[in-house]
Amino acid sequence: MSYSTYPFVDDVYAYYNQTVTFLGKILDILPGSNVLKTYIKSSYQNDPLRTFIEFLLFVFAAYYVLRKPKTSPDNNYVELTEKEINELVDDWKPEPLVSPLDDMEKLELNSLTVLESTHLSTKLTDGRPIINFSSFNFLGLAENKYINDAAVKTLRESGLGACGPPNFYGSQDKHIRLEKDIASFIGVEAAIVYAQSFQTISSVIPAFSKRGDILVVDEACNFAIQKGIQISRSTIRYFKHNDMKDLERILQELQNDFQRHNRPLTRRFIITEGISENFGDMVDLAKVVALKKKYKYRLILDESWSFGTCGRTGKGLTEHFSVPPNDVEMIIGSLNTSLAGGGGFCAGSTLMVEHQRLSGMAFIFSAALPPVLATAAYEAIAILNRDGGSMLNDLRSKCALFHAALTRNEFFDTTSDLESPVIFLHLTKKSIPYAKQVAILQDLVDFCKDQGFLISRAKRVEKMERLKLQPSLRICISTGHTNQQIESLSSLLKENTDSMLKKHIESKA
Amino acid sequence: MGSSSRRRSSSLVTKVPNPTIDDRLDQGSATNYNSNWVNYKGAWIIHIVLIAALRLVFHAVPSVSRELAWTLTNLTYMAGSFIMFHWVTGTPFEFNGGAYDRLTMWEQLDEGNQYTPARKYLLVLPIILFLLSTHYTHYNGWMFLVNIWALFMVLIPKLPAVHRKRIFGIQKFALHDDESETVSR
Repeated sequence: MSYSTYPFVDDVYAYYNQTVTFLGKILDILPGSNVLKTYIKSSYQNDPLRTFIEFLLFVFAAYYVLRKPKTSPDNNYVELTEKEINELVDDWKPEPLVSPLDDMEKLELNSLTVLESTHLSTKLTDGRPIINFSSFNFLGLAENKYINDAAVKTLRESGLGACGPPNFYGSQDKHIRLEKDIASFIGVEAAIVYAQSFQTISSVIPAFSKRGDILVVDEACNFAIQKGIQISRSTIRYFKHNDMKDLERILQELQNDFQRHNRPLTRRFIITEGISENFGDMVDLAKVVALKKKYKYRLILDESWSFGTCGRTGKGLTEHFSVPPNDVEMIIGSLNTSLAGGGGFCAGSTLMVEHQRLSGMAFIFSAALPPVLATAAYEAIAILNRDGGSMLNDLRSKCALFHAALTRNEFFDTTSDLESPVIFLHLTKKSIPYAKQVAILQDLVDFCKDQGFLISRAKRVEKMERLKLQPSLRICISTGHTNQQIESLSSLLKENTDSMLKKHIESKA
Repeated sequence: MGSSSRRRSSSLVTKVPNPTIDDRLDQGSATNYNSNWVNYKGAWIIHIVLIAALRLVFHAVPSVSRELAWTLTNLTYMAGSFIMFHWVTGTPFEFNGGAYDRLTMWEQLDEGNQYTPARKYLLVLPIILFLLSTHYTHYNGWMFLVNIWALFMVLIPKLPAVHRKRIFGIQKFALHDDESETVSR
């Protein structure tokens, strides 16, 4: 038969007919083809639209199955060809394991001092006597004979190291006793002791605050707090340093935002320091507690510098401001300053403390505090308890003496509180460039060292700190210093700064 | 400094923002046990077993006809897999610092890579189930509509174009807005 006048089309049609019949025969041989044929035949049911939709679904499924796997843009994975990889490998030059020091680093290295002992009146390695004004031994307890004897006794009993994390055979009776003593000293339910003061606050914050939680943090907080909030991955708002009005403004804004957008309720914390590690000034604890109660936040108070130095008997800021210690949810303090021990603690309610036994990263993964230092710390607390406030009074009067000696000083300003034993002195002339200020202060430090007084500059990890602060001298006053020594130091600083400044500013390098 | 003025609160489709370097660090720090079970042995067969079990259970109820049993199986399976893969976000236990809090299980599968074997299987399975159920309901028009609606509810979130997208502000989270300030460093 012919379908048209052109015989060529006949041939094409015959060929097409043959191919289809042949394919049909092959398909018949495949297993399950009968089922498929019955299914397709019965699925039509006189409803072309529905069949079309089903056919589209089938095509879509086939398309999806036949696509090759694709890496997601989430992962930021750069696909390089073999040639590019080879080129990169050929171009690579290894960097030295230790790169050569730059000028600032050389300055730092040369300024390190080696002393013969931890006492406040000690000697340099070349035999010259020196008085240590950079030691955190604020109450002179590092030289206390009673504490030393108790520590030596513990050393003979327990050895030096704890040999394990606290949860894994590292905890001893001395640690338990230390925790109980700290808790009863401050007046809270319980305390937990960490082996290093830096890692305490940076473990406590991520143990309680996670992604999605809100932290309102003092903008000049110390480096340990910065690391803690970075690890926690929480949402952060900074308020101006010790500025209660700014804090209230931020809290109110967060409250408005929360109500307007109907957000789910997450954990909220205010983090601030008792005595600032960068500036030495004290926070108004009563006001912070009032704000936290009004806006329903929890307070994490870093008392690393105010525990053992503030308050009538050294209990810290809660005693100083007469705030009940149970109002502060977490009091973090350090045992390596006034208490002549080591490590840090976190004190508060029992539930809060017990949670950290499994969630405080440094508690789980670091070795426990050496029992020697734990003994020293609880003996120091016992001494503070017996003493009843006279050591603290002594410390306060010596700090006041230093402050008084440096008032009406045209060269130095201080941001430190009158009661803070750590005094930061920065130059009043802020216009001097940063590197020159560092050089001037370092010269002063070296000069004082030659005269027999060891002070230091405030050292920070410049590249990683959030705020760039003005360089300053850091002078630590202790009860072990005599009034005369303090006055000599202050007059030394007053008299010689002028010549230092002139020397550096006139020599325009 | 208020973050409210910057939000487009009435937009229809929002996107969960791409992971920041912190998110990627946290996600890469441990295997995601919430989502890698789809590649284990038996995780594929279990779907067929469950569907068969559902069909048996529904048919065992006296007043349910065979057609209705198939439709109910279809709907139950679609609803169950929708809730499991496309509604619930995050992981049930904390090992990644909450890095997956805003992602549904479908988006967590295979670290976000598309067209992987597990995804192919999980997409083709509802389609096959749908085709079976329309066949066994003798191509009733209403059943077809109900079944195809369920199928689209399950298929559309599986499309690669819809990865990380949210409609109508569903699953909005705390201060994790795209525009708000988060950790500065």
